[in-house]
Amino acid sequence: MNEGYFGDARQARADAREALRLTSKGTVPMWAAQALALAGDVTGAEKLADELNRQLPLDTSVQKYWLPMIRANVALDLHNPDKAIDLLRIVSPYELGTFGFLNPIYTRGQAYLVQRNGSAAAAEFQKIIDHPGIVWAVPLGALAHLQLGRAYALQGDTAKARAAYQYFLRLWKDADPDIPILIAAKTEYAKLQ
Amino acid sequence: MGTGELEKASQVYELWQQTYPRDWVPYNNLATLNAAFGKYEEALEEARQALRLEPENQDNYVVASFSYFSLNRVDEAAAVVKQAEERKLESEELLGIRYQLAFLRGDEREMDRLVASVAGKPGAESSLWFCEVVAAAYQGRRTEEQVAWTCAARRRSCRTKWC
Repeated sequence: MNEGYFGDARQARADAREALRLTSKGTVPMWAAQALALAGDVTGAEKLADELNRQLPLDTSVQKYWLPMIRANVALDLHNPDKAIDLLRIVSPYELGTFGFLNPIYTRGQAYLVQRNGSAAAAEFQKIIDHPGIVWAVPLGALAHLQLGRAYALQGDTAKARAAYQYFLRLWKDADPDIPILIAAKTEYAKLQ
Repeated sequence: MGTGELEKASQVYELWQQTYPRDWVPYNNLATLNAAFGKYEEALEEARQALRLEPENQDNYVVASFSYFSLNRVDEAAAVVKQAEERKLESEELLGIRYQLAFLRGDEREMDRLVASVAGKPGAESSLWFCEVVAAAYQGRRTEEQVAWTCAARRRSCRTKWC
């Protein structure tokens, strides 16, 4: 799933399929569906989501967290941020919980970015940054700084945007240089200068 | 819990608490459920009760320290972990908590020390290996992450530090 967030769709799809080949137990199908949705594989993500819905119709985490989040990411794939935000309403009471490291908040933030609603997006990414104990070391914690920079840039607040980009680039100073989201971040940061 | 109906499970644990108020298990389980729901203050309260009723069970320290650091109360989380250490309690989960605390404090020396301390201990080693891989991904070091996952999936050894 990390590869989906990193912007490497091909690797994300391959990893998701490999994970499912190894096991379909526990939360693997949920994470795999999320990875496929992040990678733009609408058919694959929807198929897995439908299967989860059929198998676990009463499961709180599936019905009120995973399915809305997966389908919100599918909605983003289909360029429908309004639907993504609407789907995520059901997740709100659980979004700080331990099911999935604040992923729904990140997705909502991205939907606001697509809507070009910088202030709403900034509020979502700031929520992630404000909860390091929950997000812990998962990459979303680092990527939230980049997305916050994008949100500030949308608002025209170049100083805050630059600071957020700089923070992210410092965190990723030893990152592999070929990661698509890092390449994009460097390009965007250069334009802010 | 078999159907995943967590709200119903909460109600059952509450009834269990009322029926057996000196039993630590429903407090621990409710703490875990509240954390799942993102209700960390409530989780902490239940966890502290579980700890008060059964201070010799390491799981109670795990859920209490986890609740503290989810509330960004890192020093209190560390104090709980220290209490467990003083009682000579240890588990893979507690080890993971210690690594997470070190990460949150930016204490790379402690992270490395913990990893070194479990070398050759299969369960503990794999527990911290997972933490290390996640921490690598946080910094965008995905080559290390990918190599580690691939080796784990294929269950074969290799010579990189990540396996």
